[in-house]
Amino acid sequence: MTDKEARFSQIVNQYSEQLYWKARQIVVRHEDADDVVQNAFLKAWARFDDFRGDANIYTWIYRITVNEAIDFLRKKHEQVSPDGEMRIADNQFADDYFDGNETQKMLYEAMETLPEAQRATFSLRYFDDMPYSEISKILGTTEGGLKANYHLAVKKIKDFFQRKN
Amino acid sequence: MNNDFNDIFDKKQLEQNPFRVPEGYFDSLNKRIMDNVAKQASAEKSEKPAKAKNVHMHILRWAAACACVLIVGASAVIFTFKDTDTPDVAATAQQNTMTASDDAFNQAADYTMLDNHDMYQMLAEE
Repeated sequence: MTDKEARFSQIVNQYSEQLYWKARQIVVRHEDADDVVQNAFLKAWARFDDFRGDANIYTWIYRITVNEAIDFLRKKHEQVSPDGEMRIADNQFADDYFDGNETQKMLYEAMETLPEAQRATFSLRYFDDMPYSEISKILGTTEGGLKANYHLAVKKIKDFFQRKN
Repeated sequence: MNNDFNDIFDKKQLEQNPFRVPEGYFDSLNKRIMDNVAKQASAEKSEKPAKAKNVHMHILRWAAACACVLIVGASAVIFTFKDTDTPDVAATAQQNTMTASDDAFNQAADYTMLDNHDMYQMLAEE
């Protein structure tokens, strides 16, 4: 193992579990989160020489992971609905690795109906209480756009709950 | 977690992590990631000499193409200016053409045993 690989291995050991859970929260299914976290680390490896250490390495790989989750969902949606049809909840809870209660199940079903970037914005803001300024750096969008996106996501989720009840 | 859904549900219902993973998943995750990284690193090492070779071949081909253009261009210049010692090439060429036409006419006239008057009359009738 080279020095570079040894350094990278330490980073993988330190952060892979946290990043897996972040990916899981966005993509929901275990197999999908597994793909996302592996792809994210491969991308981080490809760019490792460019990382100058001026940012925290965890923040750097976290950003890669969230964007990889969004890209993953986009590609998956394109495969399922190539003509851009509306997203519907596709009962991802046939997944054996979900043990949530009814409220959690409905919340994640509602999130499935959101566009990918909006879903990520909602996840970072609602579950992690992340400031819009931080989300803006991760997703590369304006804070104003993010606020509008988040409030739209909240409204859609509330409408989903009302329809189900 | 904020209070955006307090009117819909109690956020305490979301406190427990609803997700779980297969037994031993995280024990194998790091190894699988590093195995993929090692494959990538190995692929990068074998790509570098191939890329260098491709660049070298590209430069060679480009140099060969330039050389061909230069040779063809030089040949064209040499051929064009081969027998011209004077700068008045166009006038000389025209004179040569006219002389060639008179000679041909005279030869034709000799062959047909027509004198000039008969020849001109034939040409005028056409």
